[in-house]
Amino acid sequence: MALLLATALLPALRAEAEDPEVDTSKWPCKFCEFEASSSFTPNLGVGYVSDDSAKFGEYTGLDESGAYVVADADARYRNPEGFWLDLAALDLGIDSRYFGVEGGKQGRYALHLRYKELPHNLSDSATSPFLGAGTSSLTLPSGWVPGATTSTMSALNSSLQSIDLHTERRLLDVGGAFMPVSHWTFGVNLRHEERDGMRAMGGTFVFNDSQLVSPVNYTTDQIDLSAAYAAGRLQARVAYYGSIFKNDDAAFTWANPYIPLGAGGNLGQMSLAPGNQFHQLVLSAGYRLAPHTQMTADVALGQMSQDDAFLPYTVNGSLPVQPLPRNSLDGRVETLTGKVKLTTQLADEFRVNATLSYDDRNNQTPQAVYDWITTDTGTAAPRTNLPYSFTRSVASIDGALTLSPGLRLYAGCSYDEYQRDLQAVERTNEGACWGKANLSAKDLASFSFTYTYSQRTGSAYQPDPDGTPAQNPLMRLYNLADRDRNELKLRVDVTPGERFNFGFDMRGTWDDYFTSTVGLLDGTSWSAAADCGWQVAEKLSASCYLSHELVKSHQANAELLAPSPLWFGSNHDETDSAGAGFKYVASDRFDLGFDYTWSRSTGEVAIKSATVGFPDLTTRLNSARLYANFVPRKKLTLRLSYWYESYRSDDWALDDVLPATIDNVLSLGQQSPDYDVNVIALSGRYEF
Amino acid sequence: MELKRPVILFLAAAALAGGLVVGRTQTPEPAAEAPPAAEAKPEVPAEAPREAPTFTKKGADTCLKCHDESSKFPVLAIFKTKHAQPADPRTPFASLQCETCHGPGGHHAEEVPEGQKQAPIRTFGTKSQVPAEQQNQVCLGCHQDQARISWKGSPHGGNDVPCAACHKVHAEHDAVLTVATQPDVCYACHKVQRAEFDKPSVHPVRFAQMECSSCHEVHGSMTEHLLAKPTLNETCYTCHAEKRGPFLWEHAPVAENCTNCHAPHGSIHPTLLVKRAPLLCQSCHSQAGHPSVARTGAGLPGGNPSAFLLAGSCTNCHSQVHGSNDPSGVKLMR
Repeated sequence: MALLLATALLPALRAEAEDPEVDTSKWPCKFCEFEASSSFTPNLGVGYVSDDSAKFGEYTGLDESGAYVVADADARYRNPEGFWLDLAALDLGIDSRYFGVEGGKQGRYALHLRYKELPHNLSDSATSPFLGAGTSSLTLPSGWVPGATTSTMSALNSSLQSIDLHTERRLLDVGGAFMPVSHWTFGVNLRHEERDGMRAMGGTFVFNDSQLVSPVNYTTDQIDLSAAYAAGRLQARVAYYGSIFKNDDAAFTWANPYIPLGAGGNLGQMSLAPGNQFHQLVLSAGYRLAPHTQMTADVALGQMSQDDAFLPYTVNGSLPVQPLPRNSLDGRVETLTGKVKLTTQLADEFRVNATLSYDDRNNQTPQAVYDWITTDTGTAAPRTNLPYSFTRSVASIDGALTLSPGLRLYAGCSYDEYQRDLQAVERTNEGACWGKANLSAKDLASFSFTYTYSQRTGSAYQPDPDGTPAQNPLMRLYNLADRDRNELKLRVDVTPGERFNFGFDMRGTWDDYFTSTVGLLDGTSWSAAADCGWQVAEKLSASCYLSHELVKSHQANAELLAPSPLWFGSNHDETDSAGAGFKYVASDRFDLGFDYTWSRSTGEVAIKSATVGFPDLTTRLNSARLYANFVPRKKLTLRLSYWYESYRSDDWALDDVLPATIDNVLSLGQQSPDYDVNVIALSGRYEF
Repeated sequence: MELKRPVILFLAAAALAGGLVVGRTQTPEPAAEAPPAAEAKPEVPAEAPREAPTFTKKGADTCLKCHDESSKFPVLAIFKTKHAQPADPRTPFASLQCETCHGPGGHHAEEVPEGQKQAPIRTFGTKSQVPAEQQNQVCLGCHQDQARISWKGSPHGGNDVPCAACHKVHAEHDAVLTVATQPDVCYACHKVQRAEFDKPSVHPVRFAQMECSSCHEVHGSMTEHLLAKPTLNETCYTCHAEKRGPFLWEHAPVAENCTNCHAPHGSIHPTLLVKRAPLLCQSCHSQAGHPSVARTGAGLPGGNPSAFLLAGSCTNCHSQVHGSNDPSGVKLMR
């Protein structure tokens, strides 16, 4: 079929090549409805959320019950000279609001300004006796009675306050692209992001822990500058990327709710993420060496740095403290990545790609001996910091052979080598080879099958250089350990007619850490997903999907440096997900849609020799959305939407763990979330 | 650093490819500045008929006589898009209008007896009979720019995904360019990823607050998984710059690869972890003392509630797992 069509099209294509001069003087384009007007389309209304739930509103901002304002808008302007302006406002009435405006003269320049807020509601079930949540000083209420354990903190229950753990990002993005001369594009983009809120963070005095609320007051500024050239055989781009992160809080302190274990042990201090910078120069280029051969290269040279002033070793003035070896880290990491790819069509039926990549993280941070204090409580043996560096080199080659219009075979191999400093394995190298077959009957179906085998080995495993206390010498870290990996991928797409399609995707990975006796022993991930689309009738379409995923692993560990594994653990996660929906367009004046999603997950954690096991970790999600649009008169659209979602979860790490449940952890008492939430919204959209 | 093996492999591949390329350089070179339509030259058998094609007599006006909103292939929405801007000399409507991309349509526009099909014309999309590479040559005639430097040989470009599989050129709003609708376009092929975003701990793709292209450069990238930045961690740091460091006390696997511990599309465990503590931590930590002790269900609230198991588990104490800059943060506890 494809051959026939190509045959039929041949004369047309030849004509283009041979006779590019086309007389278009009689092509007035009088039926062309070029847009040269302006429009403004606000959408205003009201919505209502039935219940409070941080989990439901985790990212949407619909975390509190009550009414909210539906406020969206679109505006457009176009003129015949190519000037354009687009404005978009979305969800202005809730915490995930967006506003953007962009415009310019097409082909010459484009400017944009975008503002986005993104909430992250982490928990609404936390409670804590600490005052000052979200600040850099957590204190205890007057009348607080320290205890040796949480159960003896007699003022605990009367001191607990609810805390909503959340963060919010506010992102302003301004930039533009400029095309002053043909073939050249210059770009500039500035992003300023503020992120604030509070989140949970553990703090400890020896083994007396508290789940604290740490402040989040971050600012990140990012800049992209670029110049790009594209003409003929060459495309090239040189760019600068800068990212500057600042944290308003270098640390926070908290009052010890326990009876101090030593003199002065009534206050702790926790460092927070230090400000840092990253600057990078990137050069990318693609060059067509020959009609069917392309060379592409990327080089990125960067530097990460961090030099915030050090905190003192401790806020405990009763402890003997040595002077710091330096006042700040002067941390520097030089990064260099380089990649080259050659893509060529050696024959009409045979393509080859060859790639070489190099990634170097060269940590230049100075080393020093630190006479550290453990948990603001006691002195400890001095330690030297370990600035980790690594270099990764990858080479790969693959080819694709077209045996017939419906059959293509692929094969390839790669070699991936890491060199690491200061770690248990100096070098790992992984070789991989893969094969793939694509079968297709273009009008009806396509089938693809891929198999990959890889093996990673490495240089001799060294005793942990960071070892106090020492690792079990049998431990093999899973990112360094010898590993066999088998991967399968299968994909089927069927389109028996224009009205129906069906797809199936399955993939699995089987890992065997074949020389590990302590650490991760094996891992399996396997998933399958199917979907369908059905044009039931001219006005009715439907879709569906179904998936299953399994992730499991086995590991071993040994207590107290035993010579052989004494216990085995396993992790077994399963997730099922399904969805269906339909859309019915009754007329230009009425349409209706429905989407339903169901998902459940089960996690089994097991210790082989244990007499007491773990209950399953479970989640269940049901989500249904229904909407209807009605056009009572020209330019006015009324929209009614309804969203129901229920969620159930069980998590043994949280459930029934109240602030005083664990003797030596004053917890936040967060519970795994459950909710049933209904959201209904009615709005009117009018096009001016 | 030892680079011998990968370099040798690459050079061998390049030599093989280069040698064979030289042998093929007699193939006519496409005109560097040719109009986009002229770039698309499907190679077809020599015995194909040679009947000269013609352009339509009236250009788009010819096409729009049939392709109005009531036709099987309505196209009028293209006039709401940037392709239909005659003032921009780069656009199809500043050139040969519809036939800039679809090629000469003279035969296609000819009337045929009832019951017979129109002569074919170059169409786009997964159901088109025109090979994807030839479709894409038409698009790349104009769009072979900085965003597509790495398109050739990329997972999408090298697997013959036509541009029109994802882009709807005749639609006023191309779904793949909108945050809320882009994921559904990607899920058409990436079915497993759709389910991953239904999990309890995810990046907010399901909530239309993030899109696939927030992290992935779908038109080609030299980074694994088509990631947008030169390395995986640098991609993560664009939103999580507080984890970039460098820190005084680094956690080695963190600095190397975020996915050593996190599943970026979603997980059933908190904070997108591949598994939960303490087993996650005990996959690597077997130091003498508490790290290597088996934590069983006996440590749950009904038994002897354990600090090593409940609430934050290991992070009840070791809360600075991404690294610490505190001079006393050796054990990532400060």
